[in-house]
Amino acid sequence: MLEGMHQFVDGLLSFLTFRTIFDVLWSTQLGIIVGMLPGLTATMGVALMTTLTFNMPPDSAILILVCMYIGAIYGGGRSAILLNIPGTPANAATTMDGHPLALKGEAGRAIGISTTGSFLGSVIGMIMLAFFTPLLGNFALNFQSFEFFWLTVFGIVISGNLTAPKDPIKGWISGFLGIFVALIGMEGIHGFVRFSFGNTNLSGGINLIPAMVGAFGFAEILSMMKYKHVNVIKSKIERIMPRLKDIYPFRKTIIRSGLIGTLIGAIPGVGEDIAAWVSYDFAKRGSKKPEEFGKGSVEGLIASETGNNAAVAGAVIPVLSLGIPGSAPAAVLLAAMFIHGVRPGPLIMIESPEFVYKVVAMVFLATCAMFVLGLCMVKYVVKVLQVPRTKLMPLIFALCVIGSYAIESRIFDVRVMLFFGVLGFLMVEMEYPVAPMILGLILGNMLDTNFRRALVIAEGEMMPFVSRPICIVLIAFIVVTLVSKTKWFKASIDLVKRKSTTWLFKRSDHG
Amino acid sequence: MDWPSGTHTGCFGTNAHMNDPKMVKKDFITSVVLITFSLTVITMSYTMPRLERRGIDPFSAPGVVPGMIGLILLCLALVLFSRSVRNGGYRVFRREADANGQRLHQGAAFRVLLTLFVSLVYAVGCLGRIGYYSCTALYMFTFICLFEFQTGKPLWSQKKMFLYAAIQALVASLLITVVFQNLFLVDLP
Repeated sequence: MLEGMHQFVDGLLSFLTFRTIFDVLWSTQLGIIVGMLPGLTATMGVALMTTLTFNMPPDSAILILVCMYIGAIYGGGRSAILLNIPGTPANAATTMDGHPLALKGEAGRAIGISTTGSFLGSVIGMIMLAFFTPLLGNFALNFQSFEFFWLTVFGIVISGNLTAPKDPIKGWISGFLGIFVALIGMEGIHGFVRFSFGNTNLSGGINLIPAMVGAFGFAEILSMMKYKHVNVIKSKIERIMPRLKDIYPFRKTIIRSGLIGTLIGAIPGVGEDIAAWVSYDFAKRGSKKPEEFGKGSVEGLIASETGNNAAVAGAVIPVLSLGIPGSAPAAVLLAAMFIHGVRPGPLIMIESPEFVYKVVAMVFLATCAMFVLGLCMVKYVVKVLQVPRTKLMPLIFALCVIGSYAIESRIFDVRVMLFFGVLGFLMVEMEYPVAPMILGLILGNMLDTNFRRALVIAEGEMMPFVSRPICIVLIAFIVVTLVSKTKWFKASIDLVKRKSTTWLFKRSDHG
Repeated sequence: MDWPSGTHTGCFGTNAHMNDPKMVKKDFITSVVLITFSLTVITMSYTMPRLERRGIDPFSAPGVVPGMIGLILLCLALVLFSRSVRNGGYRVFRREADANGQRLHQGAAFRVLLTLFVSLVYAVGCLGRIGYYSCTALYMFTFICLFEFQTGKPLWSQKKMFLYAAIQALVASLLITVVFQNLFLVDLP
């Protein structure tokens, strides 16, 4: 623990240079602007920034990406409050109470409260990141191919479940499609080229960054151009600085939302949007004034903003300890780490433990920058919301094209971006979530090599897959996740609830 | 809202989602595509070389995992297919009587197709054939003009829009070109 603190301070001190502070400030501010603009998501921002920072030193590049990520998730709250349009999907829950507050003429107060909530959520997430990453990393050292296989399956299943709550089958289809895409090209054990149809570009496999830029960038452009226009800001912004009396009464909600946000963020491929909604829901259930939720409740606003920013740090926990992303932007962060020669995963606590604490220091710097920038220049920065989409989208598309091209200087990657853009758009239209597909794309190789390696170790026996203790726990999680969405499971839960209530009433009558 | 009798919701999912006739049709189409796709994957995986000549373990053959993924996708697609068929999704060509919605939908589809067309012409047709700067500037100018042009107004009264579009296109393209070419040392297409 003390060693961890020491490494965190070392990491922080190494970042305290004029150049680094400058990088932190501009990238966080850019993140806030990207997040604010409806149609530009955190994933798109981090993916585009990866293409802009790929020839920087690893620490600087990853720091900029972390700042962009945290800034964007926070920035989305501004358009949610001012326009009733979430800047990123993570801020959808913020519209519930943020916009009603703006309609009451309290837009400035709402922005101040959401900034404080985001800051505190991020701090809670950062503490959990520092505490749980080494624990999970050390635990994951016990994992062998059998466990890694089940872990990837669990990641896909739970991500599909939570990102497509209305129809989980579509989430699972999306995840397994992603795994299939990852299998295209030369496989890792025998060097055999699969599904390339003689195309030399395809034999190298599908590059993750162009695929993500397409699925979250180009697809978003197409979705945004569907609508003719978006109303621009009319609300007046006055006092932004938060008051203690606005925050202190909700300290329990803040801590609860921070913990929930981090936990949900850490679940593979789930992300900040679900974290915000679950935090909001828990806050409503635990509130003394649940009737105010949806009508401008400060508690509701704090809960959603604390939850989504806590999920950012939470999503980084499995990235560092397992090499599995907790959210779509974290998936880009993971890919960026690979591009810069960092190898996150269970061995990170042995090979480079100092990197884990450097990431904690990055989150800390980004959180501080977000808090300061979030309370400054708000009146001027929100003017960006007045830029029409017709002017913004061609610029974004030009960046998507050149960003995809720049990584390996291949026109093929531009075509990959276009393909995934169209596919992502169609998937959204058909109500298939895109996040599990990207998770599948990342986990595909891990699943492939570990499954075949495990089969070879076990000489074709399936028993070790289902008899090892960690495997049993993972299988149980998978089964519960699958079964929890079935009609008969929900019906039996209702029946049990009804019966237990009747039994309790009978007992109290007799008593 | 009461759901009409005889609606099949299948094993997973919520009623509200699966009772939307448009979504049922979309599910039917996607399930057919997915079934065809997964069967192709399974066939290709089965016929994939098992590399016995190299003396490798048959359990590590390259087709094992793609075959398994194909099977999983097939099962999921069949569930989706049976559910959509039971809810009448096979009537794909039957039109819904909602004139307003249709018009709105057509407008949105037109804007999406226009965006897609212009973007594809730029990224597939022009990039690499015309110089990067001119190509990008032309794309941005065309995009802005296409979406900001008001058909009811005479051309000369919109000269301001054309001017701003040209300025944005020239300046933004120049910035991108300079940043990527000189700062990131990218050999532009």
